[in-house]
Amino acid sequence: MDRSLFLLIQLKYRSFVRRTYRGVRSWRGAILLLFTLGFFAATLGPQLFLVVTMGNRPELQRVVGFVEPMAPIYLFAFTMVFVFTSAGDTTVAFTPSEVDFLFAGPFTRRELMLYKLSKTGLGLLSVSAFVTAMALINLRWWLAGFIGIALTLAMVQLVGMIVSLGGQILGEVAFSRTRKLALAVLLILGVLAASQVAGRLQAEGAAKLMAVIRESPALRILVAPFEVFTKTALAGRLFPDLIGWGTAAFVIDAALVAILLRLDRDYLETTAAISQRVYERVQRMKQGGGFAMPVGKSAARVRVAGLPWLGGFGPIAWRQLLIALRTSRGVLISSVIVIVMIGGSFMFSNGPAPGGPRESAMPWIGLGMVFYLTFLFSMQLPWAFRGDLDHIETLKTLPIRPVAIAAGQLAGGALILCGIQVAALALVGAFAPSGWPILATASAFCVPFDFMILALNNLLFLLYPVRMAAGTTFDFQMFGRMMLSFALLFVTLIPALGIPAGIGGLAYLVSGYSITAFSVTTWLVLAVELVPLVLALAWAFWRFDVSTQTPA
Amino acid sequence: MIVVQDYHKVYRETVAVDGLSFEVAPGSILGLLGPNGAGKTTTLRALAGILRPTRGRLFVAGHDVVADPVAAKRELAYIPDDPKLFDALTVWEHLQFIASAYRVDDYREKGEELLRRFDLTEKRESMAQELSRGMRQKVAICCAYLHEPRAILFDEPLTGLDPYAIRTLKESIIERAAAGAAVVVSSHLLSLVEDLCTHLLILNRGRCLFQGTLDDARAQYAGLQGSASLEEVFFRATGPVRSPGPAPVASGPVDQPAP
Repeated sequence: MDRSLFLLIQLKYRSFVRRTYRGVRSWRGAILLLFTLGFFAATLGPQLFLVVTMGNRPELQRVVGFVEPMAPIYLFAFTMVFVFTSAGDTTVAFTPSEVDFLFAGPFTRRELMLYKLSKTGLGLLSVSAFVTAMALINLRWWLAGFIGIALTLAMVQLVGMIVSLGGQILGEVAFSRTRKLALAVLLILGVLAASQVAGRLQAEGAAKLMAVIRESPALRILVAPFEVFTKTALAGRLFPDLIGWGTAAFVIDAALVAILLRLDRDYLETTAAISQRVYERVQRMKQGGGFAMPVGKSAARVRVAGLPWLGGFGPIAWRQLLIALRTSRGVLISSVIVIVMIGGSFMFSNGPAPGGPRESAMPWIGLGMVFYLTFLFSMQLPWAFRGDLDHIETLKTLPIRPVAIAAGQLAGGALILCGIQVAALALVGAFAPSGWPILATASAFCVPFDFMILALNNLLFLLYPVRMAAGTTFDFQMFGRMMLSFALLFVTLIPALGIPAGIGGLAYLVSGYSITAFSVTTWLVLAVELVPLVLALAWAFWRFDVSTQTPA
Repeated sequence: MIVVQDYHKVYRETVAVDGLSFEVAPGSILGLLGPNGAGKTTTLRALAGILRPTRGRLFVAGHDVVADPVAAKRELAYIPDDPKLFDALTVWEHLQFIASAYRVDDYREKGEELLRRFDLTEKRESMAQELSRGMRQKVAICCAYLHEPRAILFDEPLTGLDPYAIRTLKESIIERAAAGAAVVVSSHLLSLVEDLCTHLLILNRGRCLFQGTLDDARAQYAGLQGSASLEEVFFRATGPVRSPGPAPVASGPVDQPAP
């Protein structure tokens, strides 16, 4: 690799240190860094304590034992989804500055590929250290975990790069079609397998059936290479475990690098186009959050009839409803994937301990999952003011009162979010048919809850605007800001939900333990709470100064 | 110095550039004109080795851009319309990197001089992300000049520049050409092209409508007086319908290729 490319990597790492140092010189930056460190300490502390005090005791080993058989299957599924979706694009993407300077610079394609690999490799070491630290309790030995995770991440990246670059041999259109076809085949196979499993589920029992599936020759062959990586990460001894499996994993990665360099296609043009797409995706995320998806041509077919004026509420709500409908695909898909993965694992396993989860617990766990996902996703939704950060100036110029704008901004997103939640709860109901009454009651709370969470979220956002996408890898300042935003939302949600629940509880007692009285009262109080919240949001919008408060 | 022969670029069903041929000799400044979507940036990006030609050959300083890209790029500087700098690197570190990439040993003096000339000395240690649009443009220009390229490609070079920087840039382009560089300037600012360029190339929908000097252009489009402005020439060439007609070429090639 050319020495100037080494210099560039070195300069970039030096700049990271400089940026972090400059950041902590201000009070605000120092507090954010402390907050970040505090978060890591709170997450790592208990794990370190358990590992130090309990070591390799069976209580911990049970968790590893539970993870180990499933890990290769999940890794296989993750790799396939990563490689055959647009997520794989990131593996070959260069930054816009790299495209401008390096692609037009005096470097061979192979040198640029080695630069990309070196940069990715260094990044993976950092990510691996982070993941190892966060998953300490689930590993037998931290060193093996670190090496295994680094080699695993490298494998996923390399496969992604080979598929992306190899795809050029087919041509862009053909590759896109092939990728879609591969996904469709995987999906059909998954549905076929699920239908077969469902048929035998009642007869053989979930745990036994899962064991049979895991031992089936087809699946074992398919996941065998992935098993090498999970065995490396979960190795407990230096020899033969770590050295044996680690060497095998390293050889696989080395072979992938060799294949990649052998490909040596004229990838610059395609990579420049992919890089532009990835850059635009990051920009969209910076503007509207993690779920700010590209709106395809087909989305234009989604139409919503115009709403009446209603003091200006109508046009604003109409616009938000349209945006939310056209950009809700990501939230819906993510919710379904999480529910199917967790719900599926839950149902197909009796858990590590006797008396583990059963179907009766599923509705409650599903319910918690849906509302937790809403909480988690609410900061990444490109709706309401959060998604309109760069349009607030335009909103301010409209001849509409702030309160109508605030209410209209919330309405579209809240209604679509509600629809997604009801769909997700229905999916949970499919896993646990006996839980329908609970899930139906919960569905009735979706509308006020979603208005509440979006209103609080946007209120905090207008008071403390933060873009939900890091400018660089390991942007500690950004991480601190995000964690602080989450903490603030969590703290404000406690009274916002606690007060209606408390009053509902009183109604429950007064009415002679009537669940209906509890539900209706709680729902009504929750709805009444929205009035001051919308007024507060309107005030925050009115006082928002685009010239000083818009984050970079 | 710059030679383009029968260059075609096709994206699926869209023909971005359709059989373009031109040459730019050392010391010449070619103005690349055309409406949006004419194929100007596509041509510059192909010369810079970023885009692969569908057909045809492109040479920089005698090196085939496709067959021998590294040698071609060593002689070339490309300043895109919206240069993306390395956000976290300082202005000086950009020059340091370019010096290393293009093997410029005496870059310190040259770099300091460029920064002084483009009024960036005070920003020497500023990170790119802290710079305004115009300053980023000036940094990109300094990076381009540092290795003293024999071929320079500018895509909308004046965007974001203040009047002082515009004057400095214009002077520097003329100086570089006088020193023997072949320069291509793509711009919608007809006054810039009129002030600077020795030759014109007018594109529309990927096809060459005209190439030659401004005087040739005035002569080519009958009815225009000798003092006709470039604006009049441009509108006459591209026409109200902007349909690509036959490509009139002034007598002989624009310039002779470099030996």
